[in-house]
Amino acid sequence: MWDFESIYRAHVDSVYRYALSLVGSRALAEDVTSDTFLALIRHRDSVDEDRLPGWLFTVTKNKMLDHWRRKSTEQQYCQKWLEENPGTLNPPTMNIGLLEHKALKPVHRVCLTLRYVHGMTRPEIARQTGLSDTQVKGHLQYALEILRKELAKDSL
Amino acid sequence: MTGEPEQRWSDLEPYEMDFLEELGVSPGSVGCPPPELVRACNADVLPKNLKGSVQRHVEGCRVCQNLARDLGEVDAGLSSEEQLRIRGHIFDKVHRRGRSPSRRLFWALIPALAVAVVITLVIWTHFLPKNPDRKIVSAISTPNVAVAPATIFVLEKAQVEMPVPLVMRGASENRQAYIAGLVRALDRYQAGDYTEAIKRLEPLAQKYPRAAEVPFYLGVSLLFEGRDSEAAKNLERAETLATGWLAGASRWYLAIADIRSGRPEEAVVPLQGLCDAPGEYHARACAGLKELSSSNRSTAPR
Repeated sequence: MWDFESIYRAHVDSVYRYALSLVGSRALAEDVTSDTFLALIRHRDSVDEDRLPGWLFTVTKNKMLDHWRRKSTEQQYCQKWLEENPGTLNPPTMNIGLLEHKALKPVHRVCLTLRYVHGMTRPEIARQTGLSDTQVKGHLQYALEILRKELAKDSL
Repeated sequence: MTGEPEQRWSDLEPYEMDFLEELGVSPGSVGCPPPELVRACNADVLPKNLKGSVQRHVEGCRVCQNLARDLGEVDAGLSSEEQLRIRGHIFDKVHRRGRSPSRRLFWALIPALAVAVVITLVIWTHFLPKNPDRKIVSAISTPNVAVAPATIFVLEKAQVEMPVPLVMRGASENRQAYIAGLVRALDRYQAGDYTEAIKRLEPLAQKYPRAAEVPFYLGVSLLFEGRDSEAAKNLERAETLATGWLAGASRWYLAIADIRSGRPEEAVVPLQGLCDAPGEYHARACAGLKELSSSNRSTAPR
């Protein structure tokens, strides 16, 4: 018997991770994941279980393409950025050398970049990364501490 | 994009402001596209008009390259809250889909379906031989029936039809709380922890007396716990509330509950309903009726 629940349980995490890798926004990845499983319900009669999870990943990618195509058509999301950045590179607000400091781990770099380059608030960073607000605050404090020490060393 | 500079920098803590001042960093225009755009570009899911500009930027911007790579390493898996929200979305969307154009199409097709039913009935009554089992069924509808040693009525776990189309009426009920509660209970049901599933479903049954899924899964869980009479009551309730797949499933499990609680004669009605209509339980119900009738013949006084 076609058992949606066991299929859902087996693949929801990988579908979600794949969606997240395509979009980088957890909220959107959530939506796309649920849409993908809805598509599976709609096509339950024609989808062979042996084709899973490949079928789910293809649907996820197509849904993401649709999403960006819609966004692009609506021209609400990206047009402003395109107008302001016609192929030019504005210098980021934070020095790239600092962000690439070897003492920083990926999670520190992510928090620093989202905070000081993209100007996100801590709750926004938490939503973007799946970390808690407290974790974000801790990573930022720790990263700034590291950088401060490194800068002090350099100035000696 | 990521907000105006004033808004973007308005929630900085004093220690952050001090540090940025030390570095000589001041609020300014962000030249980088939002992170989701960068990742979408890398994953090749952007339409051409966007992709060109974003790609040009990313190729020359180490900040964006690093961020896209680092985000991939930081991404946490699904949290339980996110899991719950995804299930909730699925429930919700299926429910809304049930009320929108497809349902209107269904009503528009009713006249055509009625004609098809009439034609089928005419052919059935005039050209096909009568079903011999029907006589047997009416014969076993007497109270003089022993408990059937039924073999077709093996208790199997009912699938969780995720998402179950919700049968909730009335605006006062809190849908989100209902969905969350149901998902939590079904999680235990799926895991085979029927005692805990019952514990979680019982308050839901009190709180949402018009939701069909609750008495259904409560009934099936009670069956697995051997509480057959209570199961029958819940499944009877589910049958009156449910539509579609759930209505058929409720009838089937109600028949099992009736048989297991020593009232096989009461199982005939739900079985007959299932046997008379096409559906997932049609074949099993017809076979069940046969089994009951043969059991009746073997135990009936001669």
